[in-house]
Amino acid sequence: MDIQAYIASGVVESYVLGLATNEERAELEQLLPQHPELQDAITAFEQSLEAFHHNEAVAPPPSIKANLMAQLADEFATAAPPPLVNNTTPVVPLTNEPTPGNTVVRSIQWWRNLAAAVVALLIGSVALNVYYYNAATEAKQTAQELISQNNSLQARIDATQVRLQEMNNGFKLMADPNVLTVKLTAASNELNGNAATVFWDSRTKDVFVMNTALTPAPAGKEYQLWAIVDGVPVDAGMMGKCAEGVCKMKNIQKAQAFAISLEDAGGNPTPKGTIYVLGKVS
Amino acid sequence: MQQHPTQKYTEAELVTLLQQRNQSAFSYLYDNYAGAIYAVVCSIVPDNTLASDVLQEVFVKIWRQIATYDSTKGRLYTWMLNIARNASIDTLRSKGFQNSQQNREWNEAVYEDISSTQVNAEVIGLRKLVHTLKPELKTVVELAYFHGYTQEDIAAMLEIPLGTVKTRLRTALIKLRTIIKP
Repeated sequence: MDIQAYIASGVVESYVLGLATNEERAELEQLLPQHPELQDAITAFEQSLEAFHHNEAVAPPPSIKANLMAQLADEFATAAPPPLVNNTTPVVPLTNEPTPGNTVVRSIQWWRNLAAAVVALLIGSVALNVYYYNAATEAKQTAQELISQNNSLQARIDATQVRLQEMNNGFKLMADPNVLTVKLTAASNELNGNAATVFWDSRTKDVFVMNTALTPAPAGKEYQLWAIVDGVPVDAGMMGKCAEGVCKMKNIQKAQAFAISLEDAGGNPTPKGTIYVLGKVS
Repeated sequence: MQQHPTQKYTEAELVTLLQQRNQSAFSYLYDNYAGAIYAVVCSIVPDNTLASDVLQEVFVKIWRQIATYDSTKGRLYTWMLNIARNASIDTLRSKGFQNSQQNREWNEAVYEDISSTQVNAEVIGLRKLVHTLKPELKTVVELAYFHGYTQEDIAAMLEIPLGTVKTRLRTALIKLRTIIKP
């Protein structure tokens, strides 16, 4: 291998900057022991990189060093064991001047350790605050989501209960022997498939209608129920809001047949639109 | 600007003292290298406050991992440089940073006000030199060195063959070496 060409290929720089692939790194490390000039090239690039960065240095905020020394205070080796205090220590005369030497150094050391501990505690406390704040925010968000999920679930349950109630009412009407059931079927061949059912309570004369299979009413139109009394159609109510289930209509004292026609929204006093379904009271 | 360290310790002495957990050796290390390392961090992390946090984290890592430093594998500075670059890229990729960038972009869009803590990372150190290279070389070094993508990632991102990525990266690095050579 031409080691000079290899050195000049840029592989040395990728290696030093941590950009070499695993294979490149393995190859270089394998060549290294036999080629001192390769090692020299690496060291030369490391040195010029270091010198370049030193020239480009940016002064960090001064607080960083203080933080760092405080953070690592417990990890530094103690320089020397503190001297033992024994009973034979001569009584030091009481003066206003602090005793020079050890006492001052130890006292400063003590204050420094205390300060470091306080700073460390403060940093720890701030970190915990941030952590708990984040945790609380997250919990709040989760709770909000659950509440809104719960609300929409409740709304769906309410809607289902209303439908169940309507269906129950329908079943009760069908099962009641005093209620007449009138099946309304398509009025003409083109309208085949349309159907509705009228329930007429023979005691109270209340009329109920169930939209079994009516073509959905187009916009601006509405189905209207008619009771045919002695050949004259009498308005028995609008079915606009009765898309499904059983709906209570007007009270009808007497009728021979029922019919449903498609009228303008709001209804007409006499039928003007197409009659969709009709059925005789048997 | 910080000057080249005045020779108080040799590198070997410094490493030995650091491995013995010597406080003044650590203080010396910081005084002599923090400026260079901070410039490296700032060239990757474009937020001064965050860059300061990363610098502190880097020196904690240096202190705690000094036992794993092997002088036969390279110089102390190179080792520290790689720790700094990895920590900076990790920060760049962290969720918190990405969120803060999103907020920043939003704020900028609304107020057109770039906070004073933002620095233009592209004018610092090695990155400044990289930006003098031809665009196709610059892109590859940017992605590899300042964003930490592997050569395979870059080939996929730029939709060019891996061999081309390798050639461009090496060409760029050779140019950079000639520029920084004292």
